Amino acid sequence: MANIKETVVKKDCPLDRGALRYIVPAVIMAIGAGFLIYGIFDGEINAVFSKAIALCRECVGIG
Amino acid sequence: METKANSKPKKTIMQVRKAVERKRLLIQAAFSILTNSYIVGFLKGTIYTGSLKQICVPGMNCYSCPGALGACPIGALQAVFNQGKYEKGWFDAKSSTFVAPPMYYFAFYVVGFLMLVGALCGRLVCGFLCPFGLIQDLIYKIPVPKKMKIRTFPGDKPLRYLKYFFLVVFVIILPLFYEANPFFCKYICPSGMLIGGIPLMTFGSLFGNIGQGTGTGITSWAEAGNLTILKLAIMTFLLVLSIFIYRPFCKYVCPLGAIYSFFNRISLYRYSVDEAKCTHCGACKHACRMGVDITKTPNSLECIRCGDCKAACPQHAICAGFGKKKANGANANADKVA
Repeated sequence: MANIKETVVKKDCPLDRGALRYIVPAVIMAIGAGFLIYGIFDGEINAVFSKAIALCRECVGIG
Repeated sequence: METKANSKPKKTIMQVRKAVERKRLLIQAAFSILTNSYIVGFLKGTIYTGSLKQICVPGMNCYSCPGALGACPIGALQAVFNQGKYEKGWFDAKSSTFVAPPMYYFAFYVVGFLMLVGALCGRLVCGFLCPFGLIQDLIYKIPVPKKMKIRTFPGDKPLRYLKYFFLVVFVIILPLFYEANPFFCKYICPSGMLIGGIPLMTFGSLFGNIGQGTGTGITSWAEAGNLTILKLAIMTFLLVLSIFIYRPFCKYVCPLGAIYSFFNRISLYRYSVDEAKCTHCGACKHACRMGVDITKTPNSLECIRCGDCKAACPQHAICAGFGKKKANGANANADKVA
């Protein structure tokens, strides 16, 4: 039984350690929120909106 | 003397697993209904055009579904990448020069949205919030002889990389550098055909007034062509495959799952295994239909956070959540192990 336990690779992301466990996703979320807000004010949201409210002929297989 | 709580019969592992699965199906169904609740679209064969369509939904949900209230992030990503190819530039009166539009657009809004959702919960979205995931889950429930349910096969692992190919080539490179076309939506996406194309063409054919702007029907089966046949074939193949293989679209094709998979190892929502409790009985590995051995890689790129392994563990050694849970010491132990 002990041998079996030894053969199991005990590994996961090193980011699981301590504060990095929370800091890394928080930083990524902050950057993501920044991108999102920039995209809204840059008018990118209009490109998304105009595509989404018209029938996407390619998506439904006719275009 | 036995207390009242002790005399209560304990649930078997199978009962716990069924209860967890039922709960997950309910959440999936509720979210799918919530994000596809534009009933008028289904009645008239049209799509929703209100302001909610500016907002992306986290899962694979075609924005041309008659009921869709939000925008599909993969479709939106390609739409923004295509944007540079539509703009013709403008004349700047101040400098008396013609300003050419940027050739390539970086999709800040959509990428930011995916980073936010991904860093929060990774592929938890695949397991709980994706309508196409729900459809595949339901199809997999179709009873066939146990032998015909394929857990793995030669080439299964290399094929998992195919979704990264679809992401890089069909979602990023071709729409960004080649021509103004949503390549993934056009040539591959079965979700668009199933929840968009089929209902829209059917309702349009039934109710008429195609393209008249009267609000009844915006397309019909009369418009079907070679592309329809190709997309119907891909969709049918994947749906039939879903009877025998658990979530083939998520495993081998989905570019959105590919994006979220990068976040699995760093997202706030994480799985961990308490090595002190784990007896390496293999129950978790056997329960996982995505083919993940959670004891080796608790935050595998393939894990859709369905919770089957957690429910199957007789030692309660698997822990999932956003923070440290001291109740069973699982996360604390994972920190030490790592």
